[in-house]
This record gives sequence, structure tokens and C-alpha cells, in this order.
Amino acid sequence: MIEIDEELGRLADSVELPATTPDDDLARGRAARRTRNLAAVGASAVGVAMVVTGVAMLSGGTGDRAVEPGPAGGGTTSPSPSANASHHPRKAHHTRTSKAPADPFAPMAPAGQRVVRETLNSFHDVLTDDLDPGGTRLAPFSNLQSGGGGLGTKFDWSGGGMLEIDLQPTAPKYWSFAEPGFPLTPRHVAGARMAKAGSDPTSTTVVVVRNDGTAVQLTASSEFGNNGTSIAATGLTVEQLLAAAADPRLTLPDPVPLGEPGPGLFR
Amino acid sequence: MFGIGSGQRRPDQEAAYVDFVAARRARLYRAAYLLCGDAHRAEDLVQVALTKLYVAWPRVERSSGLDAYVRRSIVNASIDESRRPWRRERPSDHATLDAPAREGLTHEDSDELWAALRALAPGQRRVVVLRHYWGLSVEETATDLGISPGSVKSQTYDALARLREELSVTGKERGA
Repeated sequence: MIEIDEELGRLADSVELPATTPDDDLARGRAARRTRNLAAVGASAVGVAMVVTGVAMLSGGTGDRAVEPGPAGGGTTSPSPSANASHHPRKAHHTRTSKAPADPFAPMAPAGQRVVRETLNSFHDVLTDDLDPGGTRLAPFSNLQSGGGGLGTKFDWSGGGMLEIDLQPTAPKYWSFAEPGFPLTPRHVAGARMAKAGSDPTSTTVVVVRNDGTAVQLTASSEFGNNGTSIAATGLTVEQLLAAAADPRLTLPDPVPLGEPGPGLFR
Repeated sequence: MFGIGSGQRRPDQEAAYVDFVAARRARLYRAAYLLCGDAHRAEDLVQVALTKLYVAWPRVERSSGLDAYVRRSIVNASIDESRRPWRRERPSDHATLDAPAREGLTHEDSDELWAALRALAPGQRRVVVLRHYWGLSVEETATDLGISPGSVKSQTYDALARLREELSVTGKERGA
């Protein structure tokens, strides 16, 4: 297979490199670390504020008003003087508003974490109802996969792989499925304006655009998770996945919280 | 200076990070491009992987697994991305596809290999890239992808057979 190695190498060498420098990556790394640290400090400050509030309430509300916390999650925007963004004016994205451009590394507010957690748990409950009525195979959500204005996650499918879900508020404009790895063919699903499905030996993907405009993608794969060997190992059929994707109980919050949820998502 | 507000690591850590990026970035980007076939997505994958590496630098550096960490970040991100049909549909208008091939690879060969590579199932393409571009062993590939060595072997076999078939077909069409 030396030939393949060499040809791949030559092909890769023919790819033009983007104009970027290590300093660009360094700046992104610093910004990500800064926002992560600030999120941790903010979470700690909120926790301290809640403790202080509790102590004040337990003492009859006669605590020192100078330490009275602001609204939960709404204060502590400047946890330390060094957090001032003037050191890095181009990357001051730790103080964002709902209109700020999406930054995958900006910290998500605790309220947003709660909304996302509840949404992903609701996905789990609906999919358990539809695909795992015995409740023996679908594990709790494992991560957050956001982007495009929607939310998604992966669930371990006990005994044979994983199940991935992605909800988007509207169907993407481009919808030709030119390169999914396997063809997706049109299907009819009640309650959906459009549906497609396709499989390869290890994965099945369905996409459904419901009448309310919500686009839902479900992928069952035995290729990842538990080293399954074929899609049959998941026990899931295309019809089951299509029906689950069309379930109107799968909904997105409005608005969808933005940012990096961090470990707080799992608390 | 290296406090919470700056996000900076110690100078020696930053220097080591910059050295690592300078030495590896081109290869990481090319591998990402082979995985996803799209210049913008490849750059996204590399940026995300290198950003995660910076954040996790001391831990990853201690484990002596810098290359594996970044490689897995890129592969995992490409897997997550590739499962979303609406992310797969970006037009393949990258200039590279229309650019003259570099030395050692004719334009026709380049097009044929790209087409053959893109015709592979995502899992097969990942195995091919990990094994035949990154040069990993069966066991290393299995660990990276979270699949069994047997699956790596069978997917490699199937992928190479399909590559040969695709290249053979396009070669015949060109010769006809």
C-alpha cells in the first residue's frame, strides 16, 4: 500500500495552506482560556452569592447590605480587575449580549445551561418513549452539539453504538445531500413536509422537516460507542427513526442559548 | 500577567505551544482537508483542535500525547460534523480542486484521487487517512476511532478495494 501512502501524501501536498500563523492560534487559545477562566470565576461568584443570600435569610435578613448579591447569574460581570478586556481589545467576548455573534468558546450563562440541560433531557425522554420503551438502552445525553441555531447531542446506545440527534429551527437552505457518505432517499412521514433516510452497514441517518419547520436529524450508528458491528446491533429501523424524528414533542427553546456550556451543563 | 484575565500561560509553555503549532499545523490542516474535503471546514477543525490543545496544554504535555490529542480532536470533530447532513452540503468550490496539481501528481490523477476519496463512506475515509496519511498502525487507528482493530482492518480492506475500483474506472474512462 505504499502507492496509496505516496499518492495521498502528494495529494495532501497539493492542498494550499491558509494564510495563518502560530500567533493566530496562540491568540485563540488565550481567548478561550480567558473566557473559560472567567466562566469558572463567575460560577464561583454566583455560588458565593447564593451562600451569602442563604446566610442573610437564615439570620432574619439583617445581613450587611453591602454584600447583598445582585440577581443570580446577572451580576459579577467583573470578577477581577485583570479581567478587563483592554489587554486584548480584539477578543473581549466574555461580556456578550444576546445579539453578539456566536463565539463557540464564550461561556454560557447558568440560566442558559439550565435551559440546554432541560432541552437535552427532554430529547432523551422523547426518544426513550419512541425508541427504547423499556428504558434499557438509551443513556443520558453525553455532550452538546450546537450550531446553526439549533441543539443536538449524542446518547450511548447500550449494547451497540450511539444515537445522535440534531434539531434546527428551520431547514437549511441547501438540501441536496450530495455527500453524506451514503444516499438519502425521500420518504413519506405523516406530519412532515419532507423526510429522507439512508443507511450504510454501520449507520442509519434520517432527516425530517416537520410541518412547523423544525428540521430533525437522527443518526443511529454502531460504528462508535461500543464497537458494534452492524446497524442491526442497535435494533433500530429506519421507520422507527423517522417516526421519532417527526415527534412534535421534540422542540427547541426560544431563544436557543449561545456559548460554551462547560461542565455546568451536567450539574 | 498570567492571571485569569489574560488567559496567557507561562512563557515557556507558550513558546512550546508555538513551536508545536509551527511544526505541525500544515500537516494537521492537510489531514483535516483529506477528512472533510472542504477548506473552510478543515481550517475550522484545526483551529478548534489547536485551541483545545492550548487550554489543556500542561495536562496534555505531561502525558506526552500532543500529536495524538490534536489528531483525535480533529477526527472527533470531523465525525460530529459529518453526521449532520446540513453541514455536509457546503459546495466544494475550493480553489484547490481547480488549481494546477503540484509536482509528482498530474491534474487528472489529482482529480481522480479526490473523486475516489470523496466517494468513500466517511468511516472508510477516516481509516484511510489515519492509516495511510498519518501512518498509524491498526491498533492506533482503532484507539483513535473507538472501534475494534478488526473493524479497522475490514474498513481498510473495503476502502482500498473501492479506491482501486474508482481509480480503475476513471482511468478507463480517461483512456477511452
